[in-house]
Amino acid sequence: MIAAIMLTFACSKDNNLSKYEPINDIKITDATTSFTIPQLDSLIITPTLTETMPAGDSFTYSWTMDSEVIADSKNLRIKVTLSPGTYLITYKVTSNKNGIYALQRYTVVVNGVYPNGWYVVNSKDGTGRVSLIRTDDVIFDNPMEVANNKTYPGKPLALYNFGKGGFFYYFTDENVYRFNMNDWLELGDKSSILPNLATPLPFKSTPVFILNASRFDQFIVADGGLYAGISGSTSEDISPFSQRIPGDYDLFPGVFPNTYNLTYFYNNANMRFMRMGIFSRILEDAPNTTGSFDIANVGRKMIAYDRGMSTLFEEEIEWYFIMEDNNGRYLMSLTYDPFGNTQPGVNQEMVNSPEIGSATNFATSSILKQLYYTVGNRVYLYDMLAKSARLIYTFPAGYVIKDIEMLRSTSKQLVIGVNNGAAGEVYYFSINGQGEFSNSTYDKKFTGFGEIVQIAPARKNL
Amino acid sequence: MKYILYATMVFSLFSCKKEAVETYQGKDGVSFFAYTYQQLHTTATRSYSFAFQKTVKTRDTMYIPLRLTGKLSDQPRTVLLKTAEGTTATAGMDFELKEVAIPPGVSMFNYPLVLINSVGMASNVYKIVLEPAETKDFTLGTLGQTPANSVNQGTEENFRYLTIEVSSMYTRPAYWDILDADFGEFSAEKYKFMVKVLGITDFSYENIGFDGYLNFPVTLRNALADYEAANGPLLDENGNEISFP
Repeated sequence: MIAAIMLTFACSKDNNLSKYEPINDIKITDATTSFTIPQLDSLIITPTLTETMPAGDSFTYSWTMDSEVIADSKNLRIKVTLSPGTYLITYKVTSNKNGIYALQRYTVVVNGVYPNGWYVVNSKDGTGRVSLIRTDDVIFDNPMEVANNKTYPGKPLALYNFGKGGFFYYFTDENVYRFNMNDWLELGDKSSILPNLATPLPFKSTPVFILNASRFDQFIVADGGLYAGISGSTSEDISPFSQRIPGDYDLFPGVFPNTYNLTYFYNNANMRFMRMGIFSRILEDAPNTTGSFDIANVGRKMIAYDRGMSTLFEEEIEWYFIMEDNNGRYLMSLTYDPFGNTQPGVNQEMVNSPEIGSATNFATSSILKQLYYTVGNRVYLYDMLAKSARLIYTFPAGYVIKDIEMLRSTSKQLVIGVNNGAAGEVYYFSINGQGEFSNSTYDKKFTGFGEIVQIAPARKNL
Repeated sequence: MKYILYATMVFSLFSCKKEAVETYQGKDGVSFFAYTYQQLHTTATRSYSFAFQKTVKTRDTMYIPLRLTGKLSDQPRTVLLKTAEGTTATAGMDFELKEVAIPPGVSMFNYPLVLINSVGMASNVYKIVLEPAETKDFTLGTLGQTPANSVNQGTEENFRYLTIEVSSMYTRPAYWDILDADFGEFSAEKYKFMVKVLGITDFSYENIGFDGYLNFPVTLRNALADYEAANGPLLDENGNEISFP
């Protein structure tokens, strides 16, 4: 039947009346098609249109994202309420005269409002707060109060990033909180983070937090006790911590994820290392080691720690320790062999190191065999190979250094929080190839904080 | 030529006719439903003990998942279970089976089996072997396996016989197999201590989750240490000292 119809109507006469007529051609000629903006900011795109025959044409505009029209104006001007991520926006300009249209695709990267930088835990007028110095040097004085429209009373103790993105923990002497690191909205407090404790919160001394190396377990050490929880596969899928892990121990406030499986702790009561395997909730004495020292029998008191090298995906992490006995202070380390087994590393007395006995803050480099320590207003650089230290910077008299932190991703920036009475200041120092401060002074200085308690890198585990 | 064409056209117009699609005709069915890994269709049994409840109960209801096969109905229908060979419990004394109305439009249903805390249960574990009974609405449903897909949680079984063990004794629950490593050996006294400390009675993995599996032994070890400090060792019904590894 189809063949029959085709045969019947196959040909018709062409009157050949078509003639060529030029029409208006439109083009979108933007040099910038990719935008990066913080969440809740305004996104403004003003495309440049060119027409071959400008006169007498009008246009219809549309801006679409995920097949949804978000605007129908020539220029785009919207407040970005999207979650952080990368989005594609398509711009379409259609001629009302002849329906011809032009398309342009724009890429928009939405960052968290507070994407990166340094947290400054400080205390103003007796109340704790966390300020943020964003990477573009914009300072947010008290974002958690602004975001949640409530006050967070209590003395600030510490802040730790979760380590898988998503949120950070904030400890005060009254409570423990989780905050979304993108918008600082509160996600929970002690009732969901540390429920059913035998000894109720708050912690009396400054706690520490970190994930294990494989990032499936999470640990808090506080007031000498260890609390463990599973971290889930994402930051949303998170479970509460256990009660204090039972046992006769008194841990130094530090957690040392060393291998994929094993996380170490230091028992200051009998001066030896302890450890816990992944998904185990048994804190056991670490077995004896041979080599530079026996981790089961250290015989020195732990004073401080910081991290050294790590493997590419941080399944293995080296840790440096400052230890003390009656004869002085020592630099020791826990490292790993090529098979991912724990190994004792350096063990050296810190000789030729001025004021080392009263040093309070330490930061190690992950690329040079060097560490920084501070006493009062003075910064010293200790060389592990030369086994000696020298003074490299002095803040004005009356300033007291409260915390120093290495930018771990590069080991090329040292951030120092200093208190001048109750007024806190933060300094960025660039580190040159020799480990000294570039130009012997700081790069940037930020003022206006309350009394600083801690400096912590935003978005990083430590 | 032209005539052949017209003839073809005419034949074409009458060449096809619509065929009626045959649909399933018959009584709708009902069967037990479980995931394959639960092994309830083969060797596994469901167990219930009145001893494992938070309060003393004279009766309790165990819900039994059923799957309906056949057409959905916009009318309520009735379903009934009956006992099969191997049953050692006594109907009316240890349990009750009743005709139950299922709501319109459902394909899955939880049948309420009423268990009665009888005198005999204090010293016996009774077996109730169930199978679907014929009602005016249902016969025995289609049996067999449904493969895993993106919607369900693994391969599923439709099966005919379900075995339930019921007592009021502290019998070691089947789920304890996976608790052995972190909670230690089962004993009635240990179980009572756990109920007292944690305030729950079902310690199956499905109920306590991975964090309970890891965190609860910590809580129990702490509570036991407190108990021992005040009272000395806690002994189980066989005189062995209770511990959590």
